[in-house]
Parts: sequence; C-alpha cells; structure tokens
Amino acid sequence: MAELIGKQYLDPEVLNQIRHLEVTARNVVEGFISGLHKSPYKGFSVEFAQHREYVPGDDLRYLDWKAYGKSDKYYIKEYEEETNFRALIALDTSESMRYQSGTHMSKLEYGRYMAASLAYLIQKQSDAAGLALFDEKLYDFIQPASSHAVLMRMLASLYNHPPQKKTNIGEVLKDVAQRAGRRSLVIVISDLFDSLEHLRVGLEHLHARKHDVLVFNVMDEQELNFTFDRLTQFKGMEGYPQLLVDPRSLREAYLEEVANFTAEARRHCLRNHTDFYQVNSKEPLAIVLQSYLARRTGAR
Amino acid sequence: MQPWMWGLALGVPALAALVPIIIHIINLTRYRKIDWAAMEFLLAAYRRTRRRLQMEHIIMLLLRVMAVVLLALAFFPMGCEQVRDWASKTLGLGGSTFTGNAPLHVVLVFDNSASMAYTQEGQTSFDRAKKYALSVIDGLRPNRDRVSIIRLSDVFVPRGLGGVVATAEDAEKSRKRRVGQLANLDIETARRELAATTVASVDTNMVIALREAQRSIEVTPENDAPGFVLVSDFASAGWREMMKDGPSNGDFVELMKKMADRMAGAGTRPVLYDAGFDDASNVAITNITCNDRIVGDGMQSSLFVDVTNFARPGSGENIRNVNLSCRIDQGPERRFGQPLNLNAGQSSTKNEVVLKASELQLKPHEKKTGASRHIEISIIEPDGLKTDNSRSFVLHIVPDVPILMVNGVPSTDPRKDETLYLDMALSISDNKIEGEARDPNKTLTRVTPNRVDTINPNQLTAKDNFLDYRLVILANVSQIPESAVGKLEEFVRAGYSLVIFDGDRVDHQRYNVDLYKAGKGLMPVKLGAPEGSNDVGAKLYTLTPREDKHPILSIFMGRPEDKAALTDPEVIRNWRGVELPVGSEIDPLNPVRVILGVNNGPEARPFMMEHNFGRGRVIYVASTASERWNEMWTGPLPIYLYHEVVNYLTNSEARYSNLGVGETYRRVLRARDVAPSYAVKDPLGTSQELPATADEGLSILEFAGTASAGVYTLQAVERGETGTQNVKWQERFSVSIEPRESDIVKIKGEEGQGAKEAVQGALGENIQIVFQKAGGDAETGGSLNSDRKRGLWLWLAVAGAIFLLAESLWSAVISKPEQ
Repeated sequence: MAELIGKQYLDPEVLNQIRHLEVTARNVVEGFISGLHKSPYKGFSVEFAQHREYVPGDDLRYLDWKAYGKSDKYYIKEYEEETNFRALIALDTSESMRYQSGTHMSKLEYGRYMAASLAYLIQKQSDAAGLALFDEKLYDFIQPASSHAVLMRMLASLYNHPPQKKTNIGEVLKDVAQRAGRRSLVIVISDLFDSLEHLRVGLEHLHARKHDVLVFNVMDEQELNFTFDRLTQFKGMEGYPQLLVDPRSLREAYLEEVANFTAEARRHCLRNHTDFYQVNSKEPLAIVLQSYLARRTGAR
Repeated sequence: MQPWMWGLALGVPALAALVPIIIHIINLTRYRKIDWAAMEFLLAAYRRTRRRLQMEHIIMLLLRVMAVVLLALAFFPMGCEQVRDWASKTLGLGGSTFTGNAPLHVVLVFDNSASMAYTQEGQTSFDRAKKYALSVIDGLRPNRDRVSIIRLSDVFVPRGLGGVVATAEDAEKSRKRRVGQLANLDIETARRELAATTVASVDTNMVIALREAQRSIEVTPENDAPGFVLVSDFASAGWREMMKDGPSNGDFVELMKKMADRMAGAGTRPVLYDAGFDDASNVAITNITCNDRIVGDGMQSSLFVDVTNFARPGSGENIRNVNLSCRIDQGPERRFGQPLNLNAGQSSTKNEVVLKASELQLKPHEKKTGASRHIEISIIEPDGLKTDNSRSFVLHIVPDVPILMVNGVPSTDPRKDETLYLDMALSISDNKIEGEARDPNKTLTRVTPNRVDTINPNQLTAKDNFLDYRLVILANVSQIPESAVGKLEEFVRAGYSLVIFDGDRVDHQRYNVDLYKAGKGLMPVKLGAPEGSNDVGAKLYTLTPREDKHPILSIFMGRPEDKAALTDPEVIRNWRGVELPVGSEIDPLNPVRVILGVNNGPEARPFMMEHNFGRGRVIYVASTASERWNEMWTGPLPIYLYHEVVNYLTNSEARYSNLGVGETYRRVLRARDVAPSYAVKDPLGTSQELPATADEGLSILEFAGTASAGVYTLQAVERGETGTQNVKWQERFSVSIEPRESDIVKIKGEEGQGAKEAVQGALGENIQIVFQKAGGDAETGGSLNSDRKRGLWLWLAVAGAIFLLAESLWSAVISKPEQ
C-alpha cells in the first residue's frame, strides 16, 4: 500500500527526462561503493592519486619501484578510491509550503516531487538516499540507504505528512547535521521562510560537519512576481496577521523585499560553500532538475 | 439665480463629491481573501511604504472627487433646467408657489454707442456685445421670463416740433432723450429687437441708462426676480466720469447699490460684461471749425482741423505720418498740411486747410439763392474705428447778408446822419477789400458780404414782415410803432436778430413799455437817463470787456495789440444808464449778458448787452451808431466791432448747418423759400418728405432724425410747367459724431489694472458685481447663462474627463504589474 501511495511522486515523464543525469557530490563524500564520488579514503584502486614516502608497515605491493630506480628513494603509489555517497533530502513541510497560486501545484507538492525524483535518481546510481521532513522541528528521519525498500518508505513518508506549523530551519539543519553521521550530500528543499540568521546558523553547522549542502529555494509564481491586481486581504500563514491592501501599490516594495531576501540567502549559502538554487514552482520539475544537475555535473 | 437654484448648484456637486467616497468605501468591503505564505515580505513592504501609499490613496481619492465634481459642474447647467421642469410638472410646483421658479425680469443695458464700432481682428466690440446679449436672452425661459432692453445710444426723434439745441443745457436734455427703452418684452421680441440693433453714432449716456434700469428693477413685482446685465466696451468716452473722483461717481454708486440691494433679495447680482478691446487705440478727427461765420460768394475761407491720437499715454502707441485730405462736394481728393506725428494721447489742433475762392464760388444758378458746400476731411490711413476717420463740414455760400437799417435821424450831413458811417462800414465786403481782408497780419479785419437797406422809422409800418432780412438795426429811433413791435418780435423769435442803438431821440419810457415789457420784451434791459457829459470837450472814456469769452470779442482777445485796439481808444462821451432785470423780470433761461462796459469807474457801466428772445438774439448798445454820443468813428474800432456783431448775429446758417448726432435741424422759411413740398435725404440716400410746420406764425422746416453721421440734403420741390418735379432750392447740413466717442481707451483702475478693477474700485467693496470679459481667461460665472459660461463648463467637463482618464491610465498602465 505504501508503495502505491508514494509512487505518485515518481512521475514517469519526469524520471524519463532525468534518467541520464547523475546526482554528484561536489565535495568528497564517504561511501562504500566505487562509483561516481571521490572517497577521502585513498587506497589502492585503479586511479592513481599521488606518491608518498614509504613508511615502515606499508604494503610493499604498492611500492613504486620505478621511482626507487630513478631517485633511490622509496615511494608508495597511492590510488584514489571511487565510492558511493549518502544523500539526505530535507524537505520543509511547514504551513507556508502549502501555498499555491493558479492551477499549478503547491510548493510542498513540488518539493515532494523533487525529493522523490532525486531519491530515485540517487538510488538508481547505486548511492544511498535518505529523507528528513521538518517544519519547526525535524519530525521524520529516514537514514540514507540504497535499497528499494527505503525508497518506498520515503515515498510513503512524503505522502503522509500534511503541511503544518512554522519553519525553524536553523534548529532543523543543526539536527540534520548531527543525525546525518558520515559526510553526506544534504539537499534542502524549502521556501526558507524563516529568519535568515537561522538559515546561516544551520548552514554553518552542516558545513562544520563537512556535509555537502544544496539548497533548493522553492517559491511560488505569485511569491516571486506578485501580480495581484485588485484589493486583497492577505491572510498570513504560520501565525502572521492578515493585511488588506491594494497589491498594485505594494508590488514594487514587495519585490524589493523578495530580492533582498534571495540575495541574502544566496550570500549565506556561498559563505558556507552551499549551492543555492531558487525554483519557481510553476516551472516543470524535469527542466529544473535537468538544468541544475547538468550544471552541477559540469562544474565537478 | 434663485436661492433654490443656488442650493442645487452647490448641492449637486457636493453630492457628486460623495460618489467617489462612497465607491471607495464600498470597494473597501469588496475584496478577495487569500492565504499568503510570504507574509513577512509583504508586511515589511507595507511598513516601509505605508505613509506614501496612504498619501497616494488620499490624492487619488481627491482626484476622483475633483473629476466627478467638475463633471457635475459641467453638466449641471443643462441638468438644472430639467430638474426644474421636472419639479414644476411632476410635483405641480408652479411659479406662484415655488419661489425658485419665479419669473425673471432681466434688464439689459446695451451699449450701442459709436465707440462700439471699433474693429480688431475682423470683429467689432458691438459684435461681441450682441453675441453675449443674445446668449443671455436665449438662456431665459420663454413664456415666463421677460426682458427690458435699454439702449444707451438711441436717437430720439421727437414728434412735431422739437427744440433747437443751442445751449449746453439743451444739449444735456437732448442727450437724456437718447436712451431708448423697450420694456417688458417677451423673449422672442427681445431677441428680435436686439438682433435689429445697430451701432448708433451718438455717445454713451450711462448714468441716464442706469437710472432707467434702476427704475425698471424697482418696479419689478416682488414675486419676480430681477436681473441686471450691462454690456459695454468700458471705453473712457462713456465711463470716465463715473469712475472714482469722476463727477457722476455718486450717481453711479447710488444707482448700482439700489439695484444690487433689490437683486440680493432674489439671489441675483448685477452682471457687467466687457465687450471692448484692452489695447484699443484710435486716431480721430475730433473737430472742424471755420472762423468765417458767413462766407460770401467769391470769398476764400479756411477750415481748421483737430486730430487726436486716442491711446493710453505712455503706452507707446505713437502714430507716425498721419496724412489729411480734403474733398469738396465729392470732387477730387487733395492732401493738405504736413504729415502729423502723434504720440499716444496727443492732439494736433488747428491744422489749416485753405479753401480757395474759386472752390467756393457760386455757380450761375446759385447766384440768387446761395448754396452749401460739403467739405469732407479724412485721415488717409484707416484704423479700427472708421466712423471718425472722416468728418464733414458744410459751408453756406451766400450771395449777400441782407440787413435792414432803420435810420432814426436821417440827415444830409454825414456827421449828423445816424447810420451813414455804419452803413458804409457794414457794406465793406470781401470783394471790395480782398487784399486787406486776407492780410494775415491784420487779424481784426474780418468782413461779411452784407447788403444793407436803409429806411426811415415811418416806413416800419409799411413792412409786412422782416423775414427777407437776417438782421434789423434800429439806430436812435424815437419809438417803435406798435404794429412794428409785433413784427419785430415775430422776426426775432424766428431766429433772426435785432440790434438797438440808443441816442438822444430815444423815448426811453416808450421803449421800456413797448420793448422791455418788464423783462418779457425785445429789450434786454430797462432804460434810464443818459449819462456822461454833453460837453464836447469833456473827458472821453474807453470801453472794457465785461465778458472776455463772448464770441463778439474773440478777435480782440488774441494778441495784446488786438485787445488794445478795443480798450485803448478814449471815445465814449455819452451813454444811457440802464437797469438790469431784477426779481420777476429775470428770465433764467435767457439771462442778460453784458458784453462791453464803459470804463468810467470802479464798476464799468453797461455799454453792450445781449439776450436771447425766442430763437433769435437782441443786442442793445447804450450809445449811438453815429458820432452823436461818441467819437468811435475817428478810428477803425467800430468797423471791427460792428462787423463782429453782425457776424455773430447772422450766422444762423453756419450754426444750423453743422450739427452733432441727434441735434435737430431747423430752418425758417422766408416767403421766397416756400415750396409745395420738401424732402430730406440722409447720408445713406434714403429720402423722406418733410412737412413744413407753423410756429407762432412762421413756416418752419424741422428735422430731428439726425441719427447717422454724414451730410443731409434738404430740397424744396416744386412742380414744373410740364408736371415734372423740379428742385427749387436745396441746402445741406452735416451731422458729426461727438468727438468724445472717439476716446475708446478703456478705463483702468487706480493702480493701472483693467476695467473690472476700475469699476469695482468706483463702486467700492460693498456692492458685489459679476464682471465678465469677452475673450478673457478669468471669466467668472454670472447669474445667467452665456456662451462664455458654457465654454467654461465645457472646459470643466474636459478637465474632469482628463482627470478620470489620467487616473485610469495611472491605474491601468503605469501601475500594471510587469509580466
């Protein structure tokens, strides 16, 4: 049943368009399986990494005799080991993510599709994917694994939790950093409607734990462009008050606020070596993922 | 406007102003609700822009209110009438019960004086005035409202005999008659009358018109609402005297206050409409004079032309090279004099044009009757007011001036004959002393073509009448037969003149009874005993002027040597003591004027006296015409003096040949002038029959229809042997507009502002008027409809529509979110 419920987020059309892509870690990650991602554990695999001087106890199989002949010194050949990586997808399910304008999906729905697609993609390339759902706290956590059963659990979890409560991203990311364990790729999907100071603190915690962090800032079309054209009473989510205004007169100032917020968020991310990618929930998910993942792969 | 209309006028825009506010309030309750996630940004933006937004909202609301109010104002005048109609029909509110629907009685004072013909840019002040006045009438409601039109400048044509305008008082009376009133006209008639009104050639009579208007408003029934609209060009000609410190200011203020007070009760205010042009200037021929009162056949003469540049002094409207031309009897035009340079407000007087003897000579068929010559003086360069660019003058050329002299003491001894010297002196004609007469250095020598007939006193009774003569002279006649007295009185009343010389033969008591008649007779004074000395060697006395400005003395009052010719000779030995009229003897309309006195003491004794009798004049000389009581004939003084007396008394042709507009032309018919019928032809060529009338036994032709400036021709028509109509004789007379009408410079306030400030300044702050101006930007609304007002409403409507459009554009385009 859980499988059936969660599979709606695996949109075949989306998956078909992104199947040739790879989710790669920008930094080195720890893993068990050789593959796409650089391992910090240098060993003796197929890809030469560097020489180092021999120290007693080293396996003599890796002694570079040619170097010894030339320099009369003992050098050990080190090879870089490719390994699988752990990816933890943190999805914001706070009340603000419920917002949707027009006929396209809500930010949360969009986030769910995004999380499911990425998890599928990661598992498809034999990496481990886990899920963290949060609002004002981290309330559901699935450890990364590369098994199909975990993917099914993740899908079921995405489906089961309705949006509610406020966002407290600082504490949540701190919690994620602690519970992720080994160094992982942490993918945050959120509208980030919280204090940017909290975001900064959370990102610093992740960065301190050597996690590679990617932030998808999911925003609705109206939140980005604010094209309302008549008198409107805006009822605030997450406990904000309501406001009756002519949106046309406020548009300029609003867009300025959004631009400032985006710039500040981007700045915090850059400082913490975090990829920041703002997504309009109106845009097709496949195109968003295609463009982002292709760019990330190219930058590797 | 009625009080209820004021209520509507203010209430409708006020209600209209509420509409946007109500819509705004309704809109505040009609909004959509949405859940919004990015509230933090929205709140931040709102906090940052709240004040500016509130201000914008207020401004937008005010703009909307203003736009709607303007539209309401724009369409209100049209809607108001509908509302009133609806109230009247649907609610059954008739005029009697609904005070707001009271009949309106508009008194329209309309300036159609000569200055209104001023043209600028193809439009006259009169065109603008008429257009406005018609729009006022069109704005009234037929079958209810009515109009009284008071035209400032109508020429009153009296029925029957009119008076001859000779004195300033008569002129004033005549002017008063020029205000025409058409009272209580219905709308259609008023429109027709106004449309038919043309520019008159007479001056502005504002005070008289205002008095009539005030009377009309005063008699407006209490239940009716009076309206007062005055349309004028506010030219100095008609308005200067009513401005502050002007002689008629008191009347102006009093009349306007009375009208304003009466109108205030009905909620209306006086409306003054300025149809004139602010920067008007005008060069005009203001006067033509001729020193020769009588011009004889073959004499030359001169006319003197005054030209004025009517422009505000200092305005820079200086006119260069003004050329004058002269034309006689529609003949070829010839220029005369040097081109004139006239600064603003400057006049050039006495520009002489010499009329040669050949130009004035009588033609063979005119030798018997004399003829009149029409001299037209024109400014060659035309300007905005054409009516005063040319002026006509009519000169009568006479074959002679017939004078009857009654010699009281005939004698073969020239020194003892009573009239011999006088006869010789008066018989000197231009033909005889032409060279001397025209010597410019001898200004005192002025001659007339007199023809003197002398008779004895006993022949007086044989005369049927004296109408073949222009002047009768009685010289030392002891007494006048009673029948002759009557004929002499008839003669003088008809407009001719009598000179009475005293002397030792005069029975002064009979004179007092027969001729003085206690102030009612021909003699101006009551005679007493002779004074002076009978001793031949006694002291002689000089003459002294008692009235310097009397026309008879005018030639002596120029140069000092001319005056000396009158006052220096010691020539008077005897004179008769006289008593001027006292008490009931005094005729206030015909006072006695003492022209000359005998300089025999501190108070000179009267020597030459004059008074009017009927339409003629009588001069009494307290000494003899001969040397019996004086030694005047030892020098040239009596030649000068008595020629001037004769000139003065026989110039009736000149006096009645050049009239102002509205003055009555009058001519006494002598026996030889009588014809079966008479006709007068006006300057436009329209001819009308003129019946002869009788006045105290005299046949008189009188014509009061001198409404247009120009030359009129009077013809005596008789039937020829073949039945054809022949002109027995004809005379012409000219009618000129009054020169003050040429002053079209607009009145200005004390500090140089426009006519509005000038009028308000003259009225004071207590009298509220509505002043509108043709072609002005600041035209204010009055109590009545007008084209100008409708124009204003239209502009208000356009302004309102532009506001709404701009607001819509602002909302729809400028603030439209970018996609």
